[in-house]
Amino acid sequence: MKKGFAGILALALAIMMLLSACGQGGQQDSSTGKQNGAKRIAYYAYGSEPYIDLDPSVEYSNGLIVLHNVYETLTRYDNKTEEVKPLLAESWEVDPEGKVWLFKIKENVKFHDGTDLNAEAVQKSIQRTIDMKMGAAFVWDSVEEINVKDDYTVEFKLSYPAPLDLIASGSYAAFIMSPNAVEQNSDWFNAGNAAGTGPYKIQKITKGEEVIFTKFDEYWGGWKDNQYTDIIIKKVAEGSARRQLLEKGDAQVATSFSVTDLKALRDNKSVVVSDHETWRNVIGFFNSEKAPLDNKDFRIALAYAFPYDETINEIKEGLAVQSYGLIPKGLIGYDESLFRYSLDMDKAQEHLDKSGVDTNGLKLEMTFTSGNEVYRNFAQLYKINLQKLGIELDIREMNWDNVWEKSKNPKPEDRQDMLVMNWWPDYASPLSWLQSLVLSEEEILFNLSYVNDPALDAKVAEIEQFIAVDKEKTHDLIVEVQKKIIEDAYFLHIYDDMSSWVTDVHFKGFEPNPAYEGVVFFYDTYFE
Amino acid sequence: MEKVSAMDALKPRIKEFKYSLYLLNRNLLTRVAFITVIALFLIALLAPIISPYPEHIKDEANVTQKLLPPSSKHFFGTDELGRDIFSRVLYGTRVSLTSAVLSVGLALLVGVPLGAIAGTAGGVVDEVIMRITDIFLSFPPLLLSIAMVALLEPSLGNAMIAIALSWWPWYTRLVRGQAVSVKERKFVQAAETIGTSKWKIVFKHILPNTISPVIVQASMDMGGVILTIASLSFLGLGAQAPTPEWGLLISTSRNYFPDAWWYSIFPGLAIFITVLVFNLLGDGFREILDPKTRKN
Repeated sequence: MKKGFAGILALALAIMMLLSACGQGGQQDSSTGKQNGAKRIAYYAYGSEPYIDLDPSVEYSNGLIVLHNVYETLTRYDNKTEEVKPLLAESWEVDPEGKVWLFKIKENVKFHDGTDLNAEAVQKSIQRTIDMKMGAAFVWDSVEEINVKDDYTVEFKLSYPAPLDLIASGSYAAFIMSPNAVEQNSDWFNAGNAAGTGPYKIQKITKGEEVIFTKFDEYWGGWKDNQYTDIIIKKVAEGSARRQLLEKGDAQVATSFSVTDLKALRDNKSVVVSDHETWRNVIGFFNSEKAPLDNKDFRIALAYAFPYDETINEIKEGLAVQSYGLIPKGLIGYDESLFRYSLDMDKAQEHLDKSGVDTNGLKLEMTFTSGNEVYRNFAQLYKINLQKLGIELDIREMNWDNVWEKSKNPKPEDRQDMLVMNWWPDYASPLSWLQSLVLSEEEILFNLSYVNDPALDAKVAEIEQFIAVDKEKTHDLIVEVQKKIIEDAYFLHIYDDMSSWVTDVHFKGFEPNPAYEGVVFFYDTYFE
Repeated sequence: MEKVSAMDALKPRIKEFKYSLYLLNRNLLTRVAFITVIALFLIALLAPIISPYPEHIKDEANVTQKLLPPSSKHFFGTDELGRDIFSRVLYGTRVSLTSAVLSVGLALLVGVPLGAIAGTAGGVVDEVIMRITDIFLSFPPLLLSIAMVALLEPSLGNAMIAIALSWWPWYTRLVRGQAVSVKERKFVQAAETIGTSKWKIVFKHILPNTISPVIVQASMDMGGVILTIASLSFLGLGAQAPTPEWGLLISTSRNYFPDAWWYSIFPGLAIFITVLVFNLLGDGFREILDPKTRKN
């Protein structure tokens, strides 16, 4: 029989795939960075699929790393100044109530298909996204109508005040596309067609694997000789393979490394490792609709049993900070006076006793996306702690589709007990957390603790009213909301992550922006 | 007519058994494999006693001691949570052997009776059973197991079920071939003549006479099954953390391989040695139980 052989073959294939990934990418001239004397190629070794959907109105996943190089938004958030800067909009103004916004559109900008950017293109693009109601289209919920005032002026009328300059800078759902592309359906985009105003055009796509761009010669920003002409974004799932690509000089930029890989890379003179704060936080979601997690004291007991310090100091080796609630540093509502749970098994036992939950034979299921080494490690430490409380933790690693499908099961008792995932904003606003994770949902999307509290809903609605006009009031309201969710222990606020980017020593100009998770704006980078 | 006592009837079988043991002992490789397999089962049985850090299986971790190289304190070094790899590899023997025995056992339980029924009954029953086995055999076993686990949900239990489901047709086909030839023999015809029921003929007369090649095949399959379980766990479809399953240990160690070679090497060696000795033992059994090689 050949079964033993088949097993050996499978292992050998896995190793070969790993090795083959190590050998990909083209070698460049180390003095000019040019390949074949003409092209200057940057290779971004990405840990996952570069996109799920290439339709800019639909994509709500990794695809932002592709789309932000092909399409542009009206504005862009500058994390250094904490302000919104013009991009396709030259300027904008808002009425004192925050309900009428006028955007002046930049002139002499061309789409990849040769048509000109104007107010009508902006109106049609945003309207398409709103009408399709896909992805992050909900960020435009406040918009009642979009009017073309003249060739280069667009008016947005809102039903309630909203920070439209921030929304227009969003990492999703805010892309402006050519009027010809607006007429197309998602299949057209997913066939590799695109018509944005961005500095790069899509040259080739391989679904789930890679995207290759080439520069758009007529880009309104112009080109300099030392900029990259061609870009490869390719899935390289194994951290060790990404590390080898960088060490060999085949890849110019990569992130998501294990702490051991980072240690080794920091000693390597041919690459630069830089650590940055992000707006990505890792959150544990308790299923508050399912017994015994519907018991507040039981959830508090679980919150006290989590190994926060070991996770941050040992597993993450300091490349993270324990979260103060949901909102990360740099956004309205971040407040270091908020209470943070710490590992305290006595308090955990005390709240467990108070909850009255019988732990005899109690088994809780924790789900998260497979392959995440950090999650797997802290889950195992958590399991050990919970065992001391008499609770068995069943750690389930699944692919994301299965994790999400299970979390949306119509019967709460058939869902997981705990789910771990990270969250980053759709645009530079705390509303991205509050609207998606706290606001009660009839049909479950991302409220995966299944919070259903009318008082919290009312507070979030109040925040929506004030966020564009009164920052102080907004801050206080967000703190109130967070106090309540911390007190009720709906979530495990595990850590606000830091990202460590590794770049080739010749790859310059790259500054990660927490508002655009994982995006490399290649136009800003250059060879030196 | 002289009466034959039960002891006298057993004598030829005892003689055969002694001869088998002699053959087993005569072949050095088989002898070494046999002793190693016994040792592996002992390790599996005594893992909690002989492991220096039994608490590192699921009750304790010491992150400050992570990824330490092999030393007198930790023979195989430590893993990413500071757990003793030697202890986890020893426990892994228990996990791998138990799951392999259960998988092969389940495959035998399904495959052997079906093969005996198909071979004995013939006709439509034979056709239906054999066409079903053909369908199963048309998929590579590992691929079939992967598909089944993906459907069921990744876990060691489901991996064992998936393996058993993709393995049973081999036994069905093997036993069916044997049964077809055994049923023509005179003692079966004699049983039919005196009115013995069909079920009794299958289970009392045909099955016991088809079992030798099944033993050989099962012992050879143990290695393959251990490797498949490790492969499924490596792919994230079998054992889940913190179970100290060898394939899972290797899978987890991949991220640390450039800086902590010991983490991959020792579980890998454990798989290599175990699969090798089961294959050698299977070869040895074949030589001992095959009438042709036995005479030589």
